[in-house]
Amino acid sequence: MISKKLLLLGDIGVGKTSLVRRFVLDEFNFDYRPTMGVDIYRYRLCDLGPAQDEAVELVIWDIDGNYGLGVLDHIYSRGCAGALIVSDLSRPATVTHMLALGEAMREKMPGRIFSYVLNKSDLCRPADAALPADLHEADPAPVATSALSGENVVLAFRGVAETILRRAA
Amino acid sequence: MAREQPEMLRATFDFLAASGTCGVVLVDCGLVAVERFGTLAEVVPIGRRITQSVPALMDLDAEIEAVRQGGRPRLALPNLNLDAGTSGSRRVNLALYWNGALDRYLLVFSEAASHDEFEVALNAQIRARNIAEAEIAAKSRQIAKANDELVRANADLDAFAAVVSHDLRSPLRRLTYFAGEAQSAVAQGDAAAALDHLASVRAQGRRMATMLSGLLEYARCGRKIDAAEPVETRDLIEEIVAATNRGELMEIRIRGDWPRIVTPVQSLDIVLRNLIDNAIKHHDRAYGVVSITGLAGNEPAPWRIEITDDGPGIPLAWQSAIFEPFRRMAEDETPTDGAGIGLALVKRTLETIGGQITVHSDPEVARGATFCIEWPRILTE
Repeated sequence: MISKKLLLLGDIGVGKTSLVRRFVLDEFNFDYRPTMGVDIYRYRLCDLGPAQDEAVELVIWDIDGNYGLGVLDHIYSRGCAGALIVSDLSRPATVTHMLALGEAMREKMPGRIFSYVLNKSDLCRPADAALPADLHEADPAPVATSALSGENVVLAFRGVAETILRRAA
Repeated sequence: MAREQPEMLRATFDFLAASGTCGVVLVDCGLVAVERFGTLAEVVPIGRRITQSVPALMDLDAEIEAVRQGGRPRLALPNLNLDAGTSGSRRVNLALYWNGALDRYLLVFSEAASHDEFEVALNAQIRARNIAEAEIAAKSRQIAKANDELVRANADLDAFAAVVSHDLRSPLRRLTYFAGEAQSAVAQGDAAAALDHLASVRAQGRRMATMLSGLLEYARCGRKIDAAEPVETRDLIEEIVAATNRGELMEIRIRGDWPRIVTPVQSLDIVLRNLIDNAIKHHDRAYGVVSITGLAGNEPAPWRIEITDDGPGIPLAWQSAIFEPFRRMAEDETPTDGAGIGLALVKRTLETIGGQITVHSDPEVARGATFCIEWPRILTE
């Protein structure tokens, strides 16, 4: 089985750890504890590809949110196949930072796959959030998720894994 | 190899002594783990490539090779939880060195320093502060918006009071007059005159109904901004022009830049449609040219649109009044269709989305008028 390194990026407190723990362990912890350094998770995703007969082991790097755009120059980001760039729907500034990170990734790591994730949809629906106007033109289109309820969490990880596999083929 | 062994072990113990190291793995040039010491090193299986067995080193072959070639002194990956999905996993610092004498890499594990309790607390506070600031900012926006709405509601009330007391009284007065005349004609047995007067009563009634509909439309417009969506402005303007009611000799030219923008399409449609209709309806000839020019410029500067006609023009004295509801230059009864609300709708819609409109015309110098719109790229709440 092939393994692919996937980064979880985004501002501090946007819910990166909650997302990966919902995905890998199907759990949610209300007590916030910031990630220091990197937490590495492994997860096997099956039934991928057009015939749903492919599998990949995702090695997910949940990276401390304090690095800002500099994370892309950090050794932590080397060798990645893609990234989920996460923001908090209830904090519009994190959405702006998410888009900036996506643009920086496109420039510094051309060809790498990334997806935008608007997390905490349980707190604030996208239609009610004061989101930046350029979000509507974001490419790829963002996915709204809730680590609390699990909404679209699997979809977000599977989506990026499918794209990575297609690109690798 | 036997002669190298003591040196290798000494180097290993040097690392252990120097940095509280809890594990060392010796790795050959092919990146295969060949020997290990210490408890933390047990996560690395002997006989397998470390880039496969240690997830933190996955796909770092180039960086590892750079260490061997001397391009970098070491490869350091600090503060890693190597298997966060399982309980009991420890946080480690991982460093890879090349020892040319041994012809081996040394993969060194050490416990991550416990100073991070302070950092954890600090980061938790940063996050709490960020969230609090975001909440305050959101509340401030809501209060500012509510204040703006209150100011606007008060201005609307004043404007509507003026409209109702002045503009609607005019047709009502005429309606009352014609009704009285009809009554007199009936009393005198003049049925033909009575019918004429009743027809005027109906006409005034229709005018009042049109004005009231326009007033309602004006009141509704600008209450809230519709959701922004991607709009191909070239397609939109072509659709509007195609639907325009005009004579065959009235030409409409579309020029300039018509970009794809994200904006409330309904608002843009109201503004463009009314301005084009206005240019055609108030033209004093059956023939003429209306030019619509888009000037995109560079973001975030607003997109500009100019609508120019070769009609009679607008005297300077009228150029602010035309944007008020029911104001017509001639104040006459039926010079055109509509309620006299079009330009007022345009101005109110633009104000709602943060845009602007200006008019340029001087009939004493030349025919025609140009309406310039500034359409914002970034919409404010």
